[in-house]
Amino acid sequence: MTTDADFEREFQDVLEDVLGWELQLTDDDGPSTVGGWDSLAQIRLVHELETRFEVRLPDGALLEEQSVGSLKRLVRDSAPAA
Amino acid sequence: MRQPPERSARRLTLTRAQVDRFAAASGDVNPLHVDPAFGRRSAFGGCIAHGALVTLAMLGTLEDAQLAWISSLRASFASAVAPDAELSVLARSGSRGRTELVLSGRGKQLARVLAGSEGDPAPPASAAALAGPPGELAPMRTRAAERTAGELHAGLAVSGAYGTGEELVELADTLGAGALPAPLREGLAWASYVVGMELPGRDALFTGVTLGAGGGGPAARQVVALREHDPRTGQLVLDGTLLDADGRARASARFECFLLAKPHAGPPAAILAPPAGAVRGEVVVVGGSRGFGAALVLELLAAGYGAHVVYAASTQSARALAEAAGPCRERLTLHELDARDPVALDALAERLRSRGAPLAGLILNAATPPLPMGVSASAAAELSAYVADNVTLTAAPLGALGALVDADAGWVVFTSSPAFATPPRDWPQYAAAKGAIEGLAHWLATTSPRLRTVLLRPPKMATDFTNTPSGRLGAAPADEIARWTVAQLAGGELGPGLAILEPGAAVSEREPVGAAT
Repeated sequence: MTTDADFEREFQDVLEDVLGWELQLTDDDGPSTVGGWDSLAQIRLVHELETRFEVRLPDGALLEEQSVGSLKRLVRDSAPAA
Repeated sequence: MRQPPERSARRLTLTRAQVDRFAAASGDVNPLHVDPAFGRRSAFGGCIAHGALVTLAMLGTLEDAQLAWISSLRASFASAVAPDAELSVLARSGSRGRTELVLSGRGKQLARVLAGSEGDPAPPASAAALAGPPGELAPMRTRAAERTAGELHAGLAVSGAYGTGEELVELADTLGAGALPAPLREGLAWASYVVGMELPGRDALFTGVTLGAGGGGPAARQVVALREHDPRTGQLVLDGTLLDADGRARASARFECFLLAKPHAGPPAAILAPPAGAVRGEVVVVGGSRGFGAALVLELLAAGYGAHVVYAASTQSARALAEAAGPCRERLTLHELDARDPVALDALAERLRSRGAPLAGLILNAATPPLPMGVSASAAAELSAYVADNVTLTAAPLGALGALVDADAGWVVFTSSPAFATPPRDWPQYAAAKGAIEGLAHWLATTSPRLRTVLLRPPKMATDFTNTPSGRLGAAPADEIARWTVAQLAGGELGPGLAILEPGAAVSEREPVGAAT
C-alpha cells in the first residue's frame, strides 16, 4: 500500500525529473507558472507518472491543460495499467 | 549541502558547420540535421542541431576540473535548437555535487542537463545479452532506418558496429568540453546515432538520454533494445550498451525519443474520376503544394475549378500533388516561386492577366511553421520577425494578384486559425501573425466591399506543420476540412463582404487522439 506521504514523494520526484530541480510546486501550478512545462513536457510527465504509478491515464491528460493538482487527481482516480 | 549562487548565463551559438561536423563524427546523418530540403518540410521549418551536440556545448560551459569528474549525465531536450540561434546556458550546483545546466532560447527553456558522479543519476541496467562474436557485426548505417510504428514492439533489439570519428575529440575541444571523459563523449555521439539512424531512425525526435560512463577502450560495438512504445504519442524508451573491441562496457544508456508520423507522405487522397459537374473558373492557391493547401487544391480540382499552385521549394510535394490530381492534371498549373518575391509575383500576375478571364478565387495559405517559443524581452525580435515574414507571405500575393480576382463574384480566402481566438501556449508568434492576417482580411473587406472576403479558421490538422508528438494529438484530417471548405466556396452562398468560416465545428472529429499508430 502507498501512503499519502509516499505518493507525494513519488509525485514530486516525477515533477523534478521532468521539469527541474527544487521546484516547490503547489497543486495550482501548471504551464502558466512553470517555465519548462510545455506540451512536450506534459506528454513526458504523463508517461513518467503512468510508469511510476503503474496506471493508465485518460487521453485528456495528454491533450488538455493540466495542473499539478489535476494530474494528482487523475493518477489517484486511474485504474491500474493492464 | 553546498548551494553556491547561480552563475551568470553564458552565451552560446551552434553553427551549421558544427552540426555537419557532429554528424560526421557521430555517424548521425539523419536528414533532419543535414538535409535542408528535408528540414524545411519538417515541423521545425529547417534543419535542427543534434540534441547530443547541444549537450556537449552546454557541458562546454563548465570548468575542465568539473568536466573531468563527471561520470553520468542526464539530458532532456524540450524543444528544437536551430543552428545559429542565440542561446544562453545557466549552471547551478545541487546536492551530492550534481550540476544542473539549463539552456534557454526563443524565450523558453530548450534543454536541461544534469551531470554527476558516483552513478548518480544511475546508469540504467545494461541490455547485456550481446549476441554473436565481433566478427559478425553489422556495419554502421550511412542512411537512417525508416521504421514504422508497427515494427516497434518491446524487446526489439539491434546490435552492430559503432565507433566515433576522430573529429569528435576536436569538436568537443572547440566547444570547451575536451575534458569530458571519453566514454561520455563517445556515449553522447552514440546516443545520437542510435536514435537518429537506428531505432527508430529517420522519423525520430530525440528527447532525452541518461548516460553512465564505463571503462575500456574506444567504442567498437553496441546493442540496443526497445523497452517501451506508447502508440498514443509515439514515445519510445530504449536501453543500450556501448562496448569496446574486447566487449568491456564503455557506456550504458537509457534513451527517450518519439517516432513522428511519416513526413510529406503526399496529398491526402488522389482524385480518381474527373468531376461530373460544371467547369468553373481558375483559382490561385498560394502555399498549395502540401498539407492543407494541397488538400484544398485537390478539392478545387474535383469541384471543377482550374488551380494555379504557388509553392516555394517543395518540389517533391509538388510532383506528388500533380500525380494525385490524376484526371484533373491538365487543369493544374504549378508555379515555383517565393511568395515574398514581388518581381516573381508580378510576372505571374502578368501571365494570368494575359489569359483574359478574371480569377474565380485567390487562396492565401502560405505560412512558415512556428517553433515553440515564449514571450521574453530578448525573444521579442524573433517573434516580430516571424509575424513580419508571415504577413509578407500573405500581403505580397494579395498585392500582386488581388486585382485579378473577379470583382463581382470572386473570393479571396485568408487562412487564419482558431489560434487567434484560443492561442496555443507555445506559439505566441503564430497567434500574433494570425491576428495580423485577420486584420488584413478586415481591411480588404472594408476597402473592396463587393468582393467575397473569407476568413478561414481551420482547426489543428494532421500535416507536416503539426508533426510533433503533441501537435498530432486531436488533429483533424486535412482532406475533410478542405472538402467542407471548398463546398462553401463553390456553393454560391457567400455574399459580398466578410465571411468567417470555421470548419472545425462543422466537420465531425473522427480521430480523437493518437495519430501515430
